Amino acid sequence: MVSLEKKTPEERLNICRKYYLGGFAFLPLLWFINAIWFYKQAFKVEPYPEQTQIRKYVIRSAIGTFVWILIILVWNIMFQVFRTKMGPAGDYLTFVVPPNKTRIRDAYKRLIILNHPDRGGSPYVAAKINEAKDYFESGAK
Amino acid sequence: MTELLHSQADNILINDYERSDVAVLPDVAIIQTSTTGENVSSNAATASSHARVEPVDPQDHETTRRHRRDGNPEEQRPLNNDHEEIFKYGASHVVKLFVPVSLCMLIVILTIKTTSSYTPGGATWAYTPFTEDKPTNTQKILFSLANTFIFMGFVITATVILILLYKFKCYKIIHGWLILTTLMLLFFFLYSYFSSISASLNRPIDMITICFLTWNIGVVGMFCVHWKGPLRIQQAYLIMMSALLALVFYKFLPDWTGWLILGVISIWDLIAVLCPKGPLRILVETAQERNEPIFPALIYSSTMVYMITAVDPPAEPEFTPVSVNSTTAGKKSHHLDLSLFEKKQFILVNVGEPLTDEQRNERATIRNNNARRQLIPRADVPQTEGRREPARYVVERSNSPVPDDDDDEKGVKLGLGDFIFYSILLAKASALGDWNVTIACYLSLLIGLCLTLLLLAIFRKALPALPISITFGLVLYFSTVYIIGPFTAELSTGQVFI
Repeated sequence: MVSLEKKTPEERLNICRKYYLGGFAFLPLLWFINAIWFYKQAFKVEPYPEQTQIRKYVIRSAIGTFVWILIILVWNIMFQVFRTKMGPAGDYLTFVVPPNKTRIRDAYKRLIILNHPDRGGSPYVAAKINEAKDYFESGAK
Repeated sequence: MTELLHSQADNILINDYERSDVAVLPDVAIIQTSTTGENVSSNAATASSHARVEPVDPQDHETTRRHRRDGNPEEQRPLNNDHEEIFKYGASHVVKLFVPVSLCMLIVILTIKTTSSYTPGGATWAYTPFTEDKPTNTQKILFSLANTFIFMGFVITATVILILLYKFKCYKIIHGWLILTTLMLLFFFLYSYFSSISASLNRPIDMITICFLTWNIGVVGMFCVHWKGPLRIQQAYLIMMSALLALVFYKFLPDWTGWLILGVISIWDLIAVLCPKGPLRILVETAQERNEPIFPALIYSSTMVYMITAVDPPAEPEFTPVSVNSTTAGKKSHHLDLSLFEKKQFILVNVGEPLTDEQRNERATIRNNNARRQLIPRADVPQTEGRREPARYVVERSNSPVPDDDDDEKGVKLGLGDFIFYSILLAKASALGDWNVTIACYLSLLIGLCLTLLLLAIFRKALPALPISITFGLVLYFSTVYIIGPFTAELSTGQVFI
């Protein structure tokens, strides 16, 4: 557990630098934590020689986080909108786990209870639910 | 975040100082989880938990703080009253332990309720090879017992190996093992967790985002746990890892086997920590004799999370919270030919780092030249096998005026194994879907925790955290299901209100 106040300024600078450098490995979360954690050190405490360096790192980490958030947002929006239009590439990139047997059964039970024909549910919908279950159980291995 | 905590603590201390007549507990709680047997157990790496609770004298705490702030220790130290200590320590520490334990349980229950892939009944794993689909009840019980003994065998083996490693000073192995375990835990389980979450959300998330997320969270976890990071983040990671492990355990433990394992593990915990020949106790005593910080330990500390590495102290013992699961990872070496699934289990199991408390205590002792009220520094016996981590309560109070990196000095420490088993108990209780049972078990666990901390304050040595809570939990679960539930149902049917 690190309490920054108990560390010497060199150590603080060291930690800040390591976090900053680590963030270049596609790790915006490191930058984010770095910016928040060292924010007080960089701007709120009395100045000490290493503070300028820490300030530099904090500002750059914050900028880096922001940039990465933008990139992620744009990518996700594009993916969600164009997923179906991308063809096989879209399916490949999608991270959906095919349902397994128990999940199919649980979902089936849940739906059929809600929509049982003997209890006022529509027989057409119930037939569709049955059909879907058969399809999933045959296709999903 | 650490600054935040410090300033809070300082403020509280100042307030305490001003209102010295009011028994205010220092706002510091350290939960230490030590798990042993990272390297040792290959399979049933259950970390036995030792709850080491050391009373913390709030006065000393304040004094220490004041020392740090003003640098005038002598004049400001208030008289420490032993009698007062018992009562001063307790309430705030207990509450500080409640929050993480409750959070862990909450995560586990939420995940189980929302996703269906964490329900039991999936594949079996190597630790409990027998299934429970037997026609008669007697056979079920027999096979469950067999499963339990196999599991406990793994746990005990892991513990023993860990202790042997510790005795022979193979610190590097243990440390490396721990790192490997947390690595596997963070990446592998996180990935499968995301997969089940996204499957149940029914929303297509692309592979790139998932990999990116896993990579980020995993690496930041390694940073925070094994190196330095903000306190809150470390605590969050410990809770998360405990929750992940508990989920995996819950998924793969058959029903009756689970209950039996819970019972047997608490008995084992009791034996291992309190008996003179118990492995965990030997570990603690060895660590005390050597007066050195031992292996990295997985500790949850409400004030600081730290892992004690094998680096030589007094300089800067680093405490990194190592999840209990490390102990499970330790078993991996023996099962390289097993399926990935089993390997996964292994890895899980071998998490666990030995007590940090001990190390901390060592360090504190070393470092402390003044009258430091270091109460029985006890090393939490690391939990070796299985996923279990020893629950250790350690409350350390260090009056050292030297500003050291021991943030872990004050507070109560709880082993990660305790988190895991509490969460498993509650998950099994909530599987029925009945809120009465769930809440009853939850309250019983908390009450058990309070009692354990109370005992810690009285006895001032390492105590196992599992037995009391698990006993209460089990008793209340079965009584609620079979007695209280139907009783209240009958009452409400008959329109009798109590």
